[in-house]
Amino acid sequence: MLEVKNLKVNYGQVVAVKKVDLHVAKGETVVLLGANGAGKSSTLLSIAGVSNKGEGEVEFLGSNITKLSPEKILSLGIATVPENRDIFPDLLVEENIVLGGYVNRKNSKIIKQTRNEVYDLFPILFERKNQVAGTLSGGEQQMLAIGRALMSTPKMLLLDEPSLGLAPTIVEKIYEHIAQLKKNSDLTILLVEQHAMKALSIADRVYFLRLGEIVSSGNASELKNTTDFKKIYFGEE
Amino acid sequence: MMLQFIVDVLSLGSMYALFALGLVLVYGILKLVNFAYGELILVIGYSIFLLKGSPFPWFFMSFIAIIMCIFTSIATDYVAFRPVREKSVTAVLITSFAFATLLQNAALLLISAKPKNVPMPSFLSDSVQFLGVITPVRNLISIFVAVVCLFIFFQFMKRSLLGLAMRASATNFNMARMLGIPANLVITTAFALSGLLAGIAGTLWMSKISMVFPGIGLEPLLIAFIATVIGGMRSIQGAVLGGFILAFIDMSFNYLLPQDILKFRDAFTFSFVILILLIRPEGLIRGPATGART
Repeated sequence: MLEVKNLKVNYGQVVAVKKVDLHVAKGETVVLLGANGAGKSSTLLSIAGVSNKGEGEVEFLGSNITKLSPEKILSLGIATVPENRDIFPDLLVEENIVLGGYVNRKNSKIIKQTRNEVYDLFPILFERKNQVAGTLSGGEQQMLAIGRALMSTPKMLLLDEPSLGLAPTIVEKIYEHIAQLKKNSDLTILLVEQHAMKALSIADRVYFLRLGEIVSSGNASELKNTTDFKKIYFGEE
Repeated sequence: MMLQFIVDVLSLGSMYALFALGLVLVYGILKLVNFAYGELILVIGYSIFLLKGSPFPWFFMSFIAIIMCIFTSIATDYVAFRPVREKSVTAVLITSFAFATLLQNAALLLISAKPKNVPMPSFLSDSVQFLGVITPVRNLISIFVAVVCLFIFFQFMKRSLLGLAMRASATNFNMARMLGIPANLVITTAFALSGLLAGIAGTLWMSKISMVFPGIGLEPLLIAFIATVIGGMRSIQGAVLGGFILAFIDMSFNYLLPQDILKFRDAFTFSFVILILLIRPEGLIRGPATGART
């Protein structure tokens, strides 16, 4: 479904991503693991069309989306939940949700239906829908960011560190929601995480990213106990 | 006396607020000041001037002038902003100045360096008297027009999807785009609304001074800029507030300063603005949390 070939991302002189090749099949949940600064977020943002691609190619559903704008990429069916959530803090929760459905604006039936689904998945958002989004707790903001992304009825979701800055119990909850989401739909997910154990619990396949390069990959179930990913995090053997 | 002062501040503030709002709209999205903004007043003035002698009623002429204003504002984007937007802030600074200079020189070359008279309906200058206040009709119209415009504008920003998209884009443009909100639509809308507000404020301005000359844009630009700096560059409410505060400062000095110092009023105003900024460097209203240029 998604195919990234030889991706390179640089910000001026600084190379954030050296060489990334990865693919995600339909319905799969793939995790990109790596330590801070490994280039995970840059890879994701680059797929979403925000960071400029230095080199390489991104293909989605068979068509080349390398040079497309973020808005075009979203309209093809890739929704992004960025690191730090990036909700609109001055807007109401409901307004954030409504904006998430921008691409479906001409179809009020779909909007209404998706909104109900999102509120079913995250009942707390429904309770707080008339609250200013900036007043939500970190976990609620994460739910809002995910809910907002779902409003565009995406085929694929890019999730950037949903556990970031959240208390363990909240992380647990967020991952339960993601697992539920996976069960209810055939959504394809590309997840970026530092929190390896949590991510492995919902993933089908894993890529390890280190200093801007994919160093290994494999099935999530097999990899849980290997020393491989200890290497990634703690350096050499 | 008190009521007279209030009416004077409100009528001047109405214009200032609309001017400032138009400037901050574009700044909010692009984090770039449109230095060709003042030239929209030039467009208003010369459009009405050139239509003088046409058989149209005055309201229709000013309507066309406002359309021209919107058109020029959108053209500013295509000429000065869009080609260099991705490159650097300095580039846009220069191109927007260049576009302003181009318009000024066009007026200089094609029309005249001398001020030209802009026709205004005579009833605007008639005085009315109520509750001990004597004021020209145009002042009351200014207040009325501004209240209506601000009301419609804020309803648009609050209730319409495009308005929401504009507010979201002002907070975090990249995120808005990742939700599928088209960058170009948001930017063009910002410039169009900016042109509309400048056009309305410019017409009110014309009704006050009834003339146009090539350098006319500088003062409104300065007013809009200072008002937004006082109110907070990132907040649309701040721009409106800043406009009224600037009018309040201006008018207070008008009332308080003796005749022979009055010509230095701007120096007093600016000193006061510096004082405000020393206390609140962010402006009075902070606006959305993220203001980084993206």
